[in-house]
Amino acid sequence: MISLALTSSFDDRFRVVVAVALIVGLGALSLTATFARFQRHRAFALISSAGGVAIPLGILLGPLGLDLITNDVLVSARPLAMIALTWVGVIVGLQARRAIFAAVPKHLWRWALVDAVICGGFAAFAAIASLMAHAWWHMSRPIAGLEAAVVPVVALAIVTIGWSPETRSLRLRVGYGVSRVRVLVQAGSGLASLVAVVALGIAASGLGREELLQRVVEFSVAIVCAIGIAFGCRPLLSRHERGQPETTLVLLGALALLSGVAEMLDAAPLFVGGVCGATLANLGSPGIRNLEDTIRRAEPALAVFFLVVAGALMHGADLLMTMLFVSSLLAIRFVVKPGVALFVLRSEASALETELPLRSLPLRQAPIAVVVVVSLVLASNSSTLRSLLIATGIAGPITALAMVVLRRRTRRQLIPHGVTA
Amino acid sequence: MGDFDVGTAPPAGPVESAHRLLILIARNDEAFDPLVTGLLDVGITGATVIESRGLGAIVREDMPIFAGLAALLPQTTGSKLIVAITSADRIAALGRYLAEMRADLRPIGAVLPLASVLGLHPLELTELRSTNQRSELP
Repeated sequence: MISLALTSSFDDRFRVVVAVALIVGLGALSLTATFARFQRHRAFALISSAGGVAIPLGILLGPLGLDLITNDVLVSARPLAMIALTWVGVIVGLQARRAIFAAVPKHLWRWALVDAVICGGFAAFAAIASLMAHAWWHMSRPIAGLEAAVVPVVALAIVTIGWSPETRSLRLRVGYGVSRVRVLVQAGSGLASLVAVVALGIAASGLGREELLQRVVEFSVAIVCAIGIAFGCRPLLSRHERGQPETTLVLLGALALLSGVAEMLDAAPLFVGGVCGATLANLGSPGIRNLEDTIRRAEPALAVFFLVVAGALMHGADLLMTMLFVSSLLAIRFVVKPGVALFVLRSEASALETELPLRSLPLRQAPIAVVVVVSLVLASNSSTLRSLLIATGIAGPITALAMVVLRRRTRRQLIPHGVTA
Repeated sequence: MGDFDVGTAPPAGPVESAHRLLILIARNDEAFDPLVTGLLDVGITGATVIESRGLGAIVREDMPIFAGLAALLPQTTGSKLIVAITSADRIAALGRYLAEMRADLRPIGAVLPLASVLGLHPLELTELRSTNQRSELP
């Protein structure tokens, strides 16, 4: 009996090791020169940025496929996921440098914030309508509890914020207009990611059973700890002879501390990492710049990590809820976002339209959306959130495909009039 | 090495050479500053500096994932390519200088032998030839 229990325990641990090795290995593959070479193909860049490669791989390795990455394994490997979430948070936060903020044009601020507020509002409304429709359809299975109902509403609102920053597949021509389009797409997406991480941090701290005062105190302590950890990195990295190994060691230590703080104080690891990243970005010492480089180089690996995990988590969802969420996401992407872009950027329209149709700029889903939903699924394993995760995984490739179709149609319309787009 | 008149225009054709082509890449502004000092210290006073960018920066340019705001920063990374035609002993002296620099500031570099040089001013050629001869002394 004892030997059977030991074998079972060993088997479980072995499965965890294999699954973690697979996920981390796939992430590491994205840092190779071969992967970078593949991404020179515009079609591959488009597909991979929409999760069209890593998500199916995750599904294949997950319970619906080879069953190598099971739900239990992912729960066991949650500390690793927390560290990875914190890492993504730090990457997002590192953008919040004073010099960068000073360079953000007014219309970009306006666009990112108006888009976040309007799309977030529509998404919250759509999520409430979806939950009500679901409860009406399954009279016996309404979502119990306020928190269980609020989490998907907030999550859908955050998922709709922003758009994909990938511009490789856009085939932009060389010229003045190109740099404007690139800045709008990439910098707007970066700003929106910051907004999404802050929104998630506030929402995650607001949702809890404890008293409001306790939540506020914990939220404030999490922020102070994140800032303190960033300052703590400074003396560790200030000695000039620090090389890559030492920098990596300091980074891993800081990330482990940050994820511990997030876990202990029930804060979103993305947010805690974001606060630390923003602080690091504004410290500005040579050692910190090395740390920033190390953190940023891991960006593709982290994206693959979360997309594979997302694929592996795509099971156990409610079909109706998934369809309702997919419809909501696509409606917001195809109707609301282009409308907001056309309204806010109308003064920029003439300069941009020859490069890219304005309405297609915010069409594609931001990679941070998948990370946000994965973090929520790992935190509370509900079928509603799994439905949202699947909806996010479906909406990504659909919106990417729609952008290609829209761009081809625009090109066909422009070429007969002598304009090449 | 071909004959030429000191103080006149550069020779029209290629001049046979025992010179070296020095190529250095300073990763950032912080690494560039002491490198210039070192070049001057060893007597390399003529060099061409080209603003450059690493391949990694170019590859990442179109494919940001979570951090797109960097698109607002100037597209230069501070990386600079230094090209100079100089003598073997100056390069040896520069090597000694670089060995004393902080490891993270040391440039990536290469030294190539030159079959001939074009367009160098006669004074520069004379100076280079004399340093080459000095370096060949036992």
